[in-house]
Amino acid sequence: MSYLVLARKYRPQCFEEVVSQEHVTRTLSHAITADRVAHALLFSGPRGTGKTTVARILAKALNCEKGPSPVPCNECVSCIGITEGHAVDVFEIDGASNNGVEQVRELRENVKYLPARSRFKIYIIDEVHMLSLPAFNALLKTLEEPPSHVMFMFATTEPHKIPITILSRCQRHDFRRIDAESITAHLKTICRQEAMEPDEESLWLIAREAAGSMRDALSLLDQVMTCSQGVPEPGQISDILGVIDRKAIFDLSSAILERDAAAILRIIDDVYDRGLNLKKLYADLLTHFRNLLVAKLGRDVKKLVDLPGQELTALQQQAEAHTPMFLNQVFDMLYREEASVRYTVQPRLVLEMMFLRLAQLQPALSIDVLIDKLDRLRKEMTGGGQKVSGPAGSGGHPPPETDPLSGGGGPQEAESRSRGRIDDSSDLHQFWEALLERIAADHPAFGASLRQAARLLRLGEKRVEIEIQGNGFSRALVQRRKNRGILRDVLQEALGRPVEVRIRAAEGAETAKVEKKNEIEQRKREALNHPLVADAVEIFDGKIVDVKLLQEVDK
Amino acid sequence: MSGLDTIKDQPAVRRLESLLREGVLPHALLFTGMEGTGKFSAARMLAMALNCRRYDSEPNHDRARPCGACSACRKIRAGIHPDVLQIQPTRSFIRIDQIRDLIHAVSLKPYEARCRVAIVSEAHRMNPEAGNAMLKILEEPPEQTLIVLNAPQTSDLLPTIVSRCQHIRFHPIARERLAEILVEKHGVAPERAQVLSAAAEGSLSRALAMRDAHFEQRRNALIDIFDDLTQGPVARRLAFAEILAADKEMLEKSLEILKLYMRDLVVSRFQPQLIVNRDLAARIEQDSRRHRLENTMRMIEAVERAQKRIRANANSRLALEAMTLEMIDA
Repeated sequence: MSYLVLARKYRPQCFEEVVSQEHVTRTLSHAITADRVAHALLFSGPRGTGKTTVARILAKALNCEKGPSPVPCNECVSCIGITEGHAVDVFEIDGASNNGVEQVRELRENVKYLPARSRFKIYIIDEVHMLSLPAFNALLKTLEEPPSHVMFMFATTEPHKIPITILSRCQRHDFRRIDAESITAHLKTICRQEAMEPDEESLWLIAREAAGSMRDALSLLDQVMTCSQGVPEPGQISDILGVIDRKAIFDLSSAILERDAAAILRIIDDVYDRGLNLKKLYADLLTHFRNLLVAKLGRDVKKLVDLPGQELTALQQQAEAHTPMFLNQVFDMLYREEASVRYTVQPRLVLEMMFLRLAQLQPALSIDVLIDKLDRLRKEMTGGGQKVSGPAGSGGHPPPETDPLSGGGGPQEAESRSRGRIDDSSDLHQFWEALLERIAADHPAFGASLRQAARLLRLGEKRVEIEIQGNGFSRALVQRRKNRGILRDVLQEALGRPVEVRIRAAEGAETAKVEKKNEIEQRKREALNHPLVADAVEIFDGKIVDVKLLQEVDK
Repeated sequence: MSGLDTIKDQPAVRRLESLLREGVLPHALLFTGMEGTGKFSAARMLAMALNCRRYDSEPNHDRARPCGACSACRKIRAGIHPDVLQIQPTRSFIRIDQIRDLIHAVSLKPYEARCRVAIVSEAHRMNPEAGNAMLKILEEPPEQTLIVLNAPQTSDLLPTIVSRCQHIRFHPIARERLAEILVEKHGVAPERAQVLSAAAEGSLSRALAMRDAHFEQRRNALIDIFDDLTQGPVARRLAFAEILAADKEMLEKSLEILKLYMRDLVVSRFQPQLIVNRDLAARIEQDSRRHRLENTMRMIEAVERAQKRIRANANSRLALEAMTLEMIDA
């Protein structure tokens, strides 16, 4: 088998060839020129982004016979040795299979000998996160102060598994996921070198499927090249790669949104028969609904949704027809059931049942709509020409002596436009009660929240101040713009003059409570320390059981 | 050719053949597909094709058609070829020691093979240590080495492993084809083959296991009890739970059968041609009208819950009783 896969054939051999990791390669090149390369380096990042590659290039750059230079010659014995993996002074260790403390001890033994023929003795430990804790600890001393001829380079996909003591001794370089555009561009250059001319769309598909990993992209490209012999068509490509084509995802999501159970079952059956991964289908669908939601919210869609132009339009069209509430509902359910799909042995059955359940889902209404509906219902029940009474069952509020209100009473139709003034000269409290009645008649939910959360603070000539407290829900309800408008209108109507409504959050309530508590404590302490009390205790040889404040006793 | 006839219509096999003919076989392959779709046979076919002696004398012979008669082919088929390494889970896991042994073995020169082949069956059972230990060798194995991983789905493996392999999918075997295989190769009566092939959902090994476990009788008995159950008194339900719990070996399978039947009840409303228990189509259609949709779906959930609890080591009798009590069709 002399065939070399693309990922190995086109492994970058100098820093310039590394795609999309300039922040690492530039730093390292500068470090080499300035002779400031750290003795311990940690490369971390997702799979297939170039960690091992960069480690090897750096090893070459440092040990190159033509000097440590940012550009290794790739011709000298040392460079070729490293490329082919048999350099005597560069040890590429597989951290995952040599993960014990024994292997680290062995390494420490060897560290002290000078390199055989190069400038540095370089240890590249790949998959370093698999080292055992004792192994890591055994490495600490050497890592902090290695002999001057030794360099360590660690590469890992899971830096969070590395002990903090190791991390603090290394210079860390984080590799980024490679964006789809750079992958596509790189794939294109490779295709050209391989004398192939696949179309843009296919490459884009591969790049997206690779999810930021160049090696994944190259493996996929390999797959496409070997089994299509010549120019593959886009449709063929998705079949070769086992990518669930976008059409299936679109169809399935519309079937779910339109609650078409038959179509759902047919699509799942189709995907299953093609041997595709149903768990992948699920993940793709989840992403699709996320995209739909983003499209529906409609801000920065281009940036947040990683799709080519025409699919984006299709996505937006699909999102158009449904309310964000419903999309959210579906997304929510899919998201919640994710674990059960992930761990099942029979994904098909689970998926079918879940999607059917989704198809039974009734679109939810937003809270606003619900409240409006409730209000309307209540009006129908209490209204109908009767006198307006206080919100039934709000409890604890006896119907106020409605002197002012009786003036505004009468048939509802007459009321709804102008119910005249409410006397505001007398008691603030009474005025507020009357006002609440009036609001509750038209907007029971808002009225109830007002009653619960708000207090009339000041009734001025031009300005009315209202303080709100209570729980977050009623607070939010009161502060909603629509409701503020209602409040203002009713107030103006009641006062017969334009006023400005000021709503402010209460702060006093909490502090007052605390102050009171402090005061009680203080009094109790005073009582206990009082000389009379002390004398009494001594004379009667008694002890103090409790201190009661007089007001409390009175109660 | 070596049991490959059964899977010769797999697109995956055609791809492997073209890789062999073009001489562009990569060093690491990942076969995915459910059990019984020919992954292992295909891996063995690869090993034979790479090592067949016939090519020594006839260099122009079709590279994808090993003779199956030379010493190498026969050794591979018998599973005793020294350079065809097979790794299987021991006690539900593939452990790091097995992978270390593999790494050691492939670092030496092959004994007699032209190309050494390591087949890791059920690669998703590699524990994390083993999986990570595999990474380096998977990316850059020694010369003349092919590593083949078999797993049900890519999502069951470490992403770092998947990214190092070329991925080949095995489709479920088409129903008609599976029935044919059962009749021709395994001497199953044609009617029975129809039932088994439908219920096995594209897996030959599953179909054979079902044949050996007298699937139909079992299923019919379960369905009969189940039908009575949903309307019957509580005592009968508890008795059903007891019957189920008594046979620990078959419990998991019995529940799967029940679940599939209930799934058919649901599915037949929307897409009658997609049901699994085809031989019972008439009965299922009739029954599905009798049960309410939400109830059936709720019962499926109840079964799933019970399975989960049993897997988590709950008292199976209790879990099953809870399940049967939830199976009310009201």
